Amino acid sequence: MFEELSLHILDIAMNSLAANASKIEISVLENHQRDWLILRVRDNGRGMDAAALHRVLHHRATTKTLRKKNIGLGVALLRQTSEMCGGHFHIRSAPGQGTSVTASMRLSHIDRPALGDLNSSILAICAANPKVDVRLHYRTDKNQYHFSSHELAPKGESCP
Amino acid sequence: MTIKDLIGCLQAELLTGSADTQVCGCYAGDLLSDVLASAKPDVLWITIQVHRNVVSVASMKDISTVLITRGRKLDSQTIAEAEQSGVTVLSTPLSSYEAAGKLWETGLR
Amino acid sequence: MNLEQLKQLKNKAQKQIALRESGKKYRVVVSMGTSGIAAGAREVMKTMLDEMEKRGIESVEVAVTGEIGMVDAEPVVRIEEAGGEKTTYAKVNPEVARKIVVEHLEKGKKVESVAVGKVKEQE
Repeated sequence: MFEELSLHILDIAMNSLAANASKIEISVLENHQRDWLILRVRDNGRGMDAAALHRVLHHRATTKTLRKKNIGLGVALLRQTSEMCGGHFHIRSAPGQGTSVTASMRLSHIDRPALGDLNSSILAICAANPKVDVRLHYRTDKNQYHFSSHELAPKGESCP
Repeated sequence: MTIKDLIGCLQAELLTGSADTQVCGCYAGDLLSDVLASAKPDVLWITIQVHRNVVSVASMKDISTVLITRGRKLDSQTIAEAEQSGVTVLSTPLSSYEAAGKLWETGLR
Repeated sequence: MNLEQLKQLKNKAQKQIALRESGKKYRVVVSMGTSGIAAGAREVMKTMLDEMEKRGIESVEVAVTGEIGMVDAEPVVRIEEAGGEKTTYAKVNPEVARKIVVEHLEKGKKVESVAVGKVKEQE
């Protein structure tokens, strides 16, 4: 697991880039009323077939080659964080249909890492491939914030 | 040092692997990203974590032995993965602090 | 993370784009795979961007690459020069990152004590 959730987000998004995504949508939803925090990273990359998805979910770094490719470890770490914090983990992918990773966790769980420096994570993803449209949708019970690297203009901001 | 020399003072049980496994140092940590970043090869890793990611991280870092503290155990699937990955796993009833203390006394660094 | 902090994101992203569009003397590539992130690569990148901004250094593009498989050398930063020369720095922390910006990017002097190798490509 990582110390901050924003590091998990960065890590998963790097997988999206490796899958040649041209659009990455990141959403962070904080529901204080129901005590849930939901992270989602969705991309339009090449996607994985059932065998590849299975390999990612059952990540094993037993050889040096696998270590180098290392696509699954980050997914396994996020799944661990999510499950340790009373949440659920879900990954959906199909060839040509992109990949969607969803991790939920109890907002108030004592082991839940802080969201952390989300800005730096988004900036790093943008720096990785400037042609990719990186979108962030952040929502709490009262506020929401949208960011799109292609548009570079926040939309739909609302404040209490 | 071999695991054989340490099993006694740690009151440890060998869950998988060989008692002849060599270790040349120790690392204590429960945050996997920290261990991923900082542990050296061939160390004995002291942790309370029992998630299967422990085996992945140990394998990636060439950590020879994992010592699970507070009497916790790995599930059978994780033990099988440890065996496949060549990672030796011990379990001790001691806390991480006590285990680290005992290991420090042996001169392992 | 609060809304006020998030609002700075657009500002920072625009500055990053401006850097890319100017003539580049150097390209900084930070390795950002799982082991890089675990070792603090994001903080290294942030420190370099902040230091460059502080010093008004504009002829540098900052890029990010995926897993390079050097789990014991992370964080790894590679400096690529317009002439083709490449210098790789290993185990970079924020303090070393700052030094790389000041010595290598601003003054053109490699930080030999941290550099692990350089490759010059013939045109």
